[in-house]
Amino acid sequence: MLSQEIKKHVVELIRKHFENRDDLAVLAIKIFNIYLRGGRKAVTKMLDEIVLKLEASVQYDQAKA
Amino acid sequence: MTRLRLKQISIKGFKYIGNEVTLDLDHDIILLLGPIGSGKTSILNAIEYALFGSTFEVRSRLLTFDDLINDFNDGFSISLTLCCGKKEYTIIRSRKRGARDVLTLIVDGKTISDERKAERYLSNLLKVDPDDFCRYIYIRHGQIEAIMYGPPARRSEIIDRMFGIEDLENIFRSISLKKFDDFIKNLEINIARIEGELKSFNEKNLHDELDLIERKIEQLNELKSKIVSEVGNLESQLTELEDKRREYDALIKKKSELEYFIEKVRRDLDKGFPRLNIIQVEKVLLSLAEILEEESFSDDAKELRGIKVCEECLDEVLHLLKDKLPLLKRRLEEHYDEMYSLKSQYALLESERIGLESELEKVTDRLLELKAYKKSYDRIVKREGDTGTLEKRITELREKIKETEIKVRNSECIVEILCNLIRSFPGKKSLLCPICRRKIPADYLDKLRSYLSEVKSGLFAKYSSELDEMKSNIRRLESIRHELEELNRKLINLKELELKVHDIKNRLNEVDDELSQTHLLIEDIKYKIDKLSVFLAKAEDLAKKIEHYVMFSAYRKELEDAEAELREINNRLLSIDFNPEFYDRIRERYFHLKGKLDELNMRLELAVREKKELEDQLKRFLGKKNQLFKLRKKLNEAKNVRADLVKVKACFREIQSELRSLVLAKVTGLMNQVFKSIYMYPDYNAVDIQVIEEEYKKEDISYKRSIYEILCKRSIDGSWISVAKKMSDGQKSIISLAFLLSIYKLTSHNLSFMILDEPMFNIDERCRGALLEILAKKDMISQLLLATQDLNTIKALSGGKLNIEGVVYLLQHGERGPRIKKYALSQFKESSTFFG
Repeated sequence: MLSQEIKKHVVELIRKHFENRDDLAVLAIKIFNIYLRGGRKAVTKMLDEIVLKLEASVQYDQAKA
Repeated sequence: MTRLRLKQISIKGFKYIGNEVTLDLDHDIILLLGPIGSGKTSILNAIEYALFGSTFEVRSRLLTFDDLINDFNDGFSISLTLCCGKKEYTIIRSRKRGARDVLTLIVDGKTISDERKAERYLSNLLKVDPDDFCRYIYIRHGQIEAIMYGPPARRSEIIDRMFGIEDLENIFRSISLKKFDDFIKNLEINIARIEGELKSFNEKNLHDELDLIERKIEQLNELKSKIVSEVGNLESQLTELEDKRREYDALIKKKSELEYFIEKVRRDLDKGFPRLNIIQVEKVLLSLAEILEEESFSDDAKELRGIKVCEECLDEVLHLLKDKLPLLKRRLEEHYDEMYSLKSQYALLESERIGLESELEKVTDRLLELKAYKKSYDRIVKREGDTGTLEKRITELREKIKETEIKVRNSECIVEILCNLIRSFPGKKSLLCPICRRKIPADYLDKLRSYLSEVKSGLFAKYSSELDEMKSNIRRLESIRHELEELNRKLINLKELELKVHDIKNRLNEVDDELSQTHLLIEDIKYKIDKLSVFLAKAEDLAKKIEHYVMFSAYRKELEDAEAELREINNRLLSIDFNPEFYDRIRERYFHLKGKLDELNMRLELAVREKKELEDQLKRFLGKKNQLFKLRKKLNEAKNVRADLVKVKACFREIQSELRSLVLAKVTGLMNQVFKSIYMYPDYNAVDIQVIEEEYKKEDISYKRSIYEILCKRSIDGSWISVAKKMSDGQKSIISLAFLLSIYKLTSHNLSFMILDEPMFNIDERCRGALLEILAKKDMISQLLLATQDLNTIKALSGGKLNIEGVVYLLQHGERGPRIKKYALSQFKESSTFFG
């Protein structure tokens, strides 16, 4: 596992990397935190949920039509 | 700053160690020496478990907690004492099979029994997590090899793990874009399909067609309203005419029926009107009355006599005839029944009479036969006597025979005696008499002999003839007696038969009387039947004639009525003023317009349906357009998310690269220092770790991947050589150890000890000595716990110029765990008996 020192450093580097894109910085930090809490499976689950949401909204539109 | 040192450990029931083992660890160097499987690694694992409540194998899921318990124990307990200056910390962990871990922490004699508190305290105290502990404090032999062996990517992962930045790579890998790509691809397919469907629609044409169909519906509705009004007028006319038509039809129908009836009656009447003689009718009625009286129907006869016959009352006469004739018919049937019953009675009597006659004949024959027997019986009785007499005579004869037989036997005995006496003197010429003692002359003897033979033959002849005669008499008498008995038995029924003959004769006379009476009765009934039959035929014929006559009279009356009715109908037909042709014309027009209206409705329905379809098509078209718009929006959204994720992925790679450069800069210097101290040969003089950036494509995106390359500087030409490719196993081990020691030195934690499990497997004696010298230096590592099976390690430590304070634990296989002996390092001498 990453040491506390490195964790802090990683967050700093993310912010620095996405200086002009706050949304991406937020997304990257979110993924980082999710990984630290739940590992690779949690990240995969989060991404799957995004895809499922998109699919559900498409299906909703189709059903409505 | 003072860091934590190992002081003491007690282990019981953990892995190989069954019985309790206590080791004093408060030394700079602690050496665990023993053959394979003697429990060295179990002790090292116990230290790890005591510090963190788990081991590397459990965390990697190679083992379960229960696998850590010794096979002969229910659980284990470990007590590890650490010290920091004068402060002491005792960690006590125990676990039972299938149960959870129990932790107790004692700090300077003060117990922290709340496990959460204890764990938190311990974590703050150690300042290192279990993964970092296994990276650079507890070094396994396999860990040293993994740095140098295997594919470059795998080695790079291990080094990243050592640096503690492998999670960034994991995050990079876990951001998979495949599902996004699939989703985007599906959306694109859907969009293409909808676009294709929309191409087949022409919005302008749809609107034009819709206008056209709406105009058509308007025209059809106008036409329909015109027809509906005309149909209404015709309907009211038809309703008015309908009542007249119904009456007209009914009258016409009635008229035709009447005409047909009149025609038929006229035809029948034309055939001829029947004639009837009233006097004859009167006569028949009188005869009928008489017969009824004769047959005991007096009331009916009286009724008939009261009738005055005339043409007008023929109907009544006919009715009376029809009423009375069945009475006679029934009576006739009764007569017939009676006659049949008498006839059957007569037949029965006849058959009885025949039976009696034949029986009489049989009985008479039998009687004659018995009478003949009676005569024979009387004759025999007269001649021989009855059976009693015969029996008496037979008994007398039997007694006589017995007496005669006794006489014969006596005579035979005397003769035999005499004969025997004479035979006893055959050779002597003269004999003396046995009684008188006088001399008997020889010729006298001869005479005696001849006399005896004569007596014998004459006597026997007489007796035998007498006996034969008596026996034949007995046989004859017995046969007569038997014959009499037989006749007597036959004559027993004679009396009965005579009585029977008498009875039969009486019955025969009675039957004859009955037969003659029955015959008379039959004759009488026959006469009655003939008379009734003749009269009935005559009366029925008359009844038919009357009926015919009455019927024709009624016909004539009906004809007159029908003609009057027909005249009335003709008058009514003229008065109702109904023209059927006009009615038919109106009706035809009405149905024609009705048909047209139905057709119009159908056309209207079709037009409405067509309009609806067009509207649906238009609606679908607009729906598809809307759907396409939304799908495109979603596609852009998905593409944007994907692009963002690509950027985030790349970001993690870049951060990993930056962190790696930072760590490498720190590690390389220290690693060179350690390498130069350990490696005792002049061919290589420096080490370096370089990062090679490789570019590769995944999911159509280019990414950079870092591969570590550990290089060594060759003294002879100053070139950098790949360690993995060119150097020996021993050299690789030395460089790995240098790398691990430098990481140990650079990381911040609160442990002053290092644990090495079989670290010098393929390092030569010279380098091993140098390595141990480095390890023994206080500035590098304060306390070293080393497990090995190699005696040379001890030699290197105990001998030479090193002056190290330490202890050696010699482990040997025992029954329930290792047998351990403790030696001071300075006192330890090489001996072949250590492993024995």
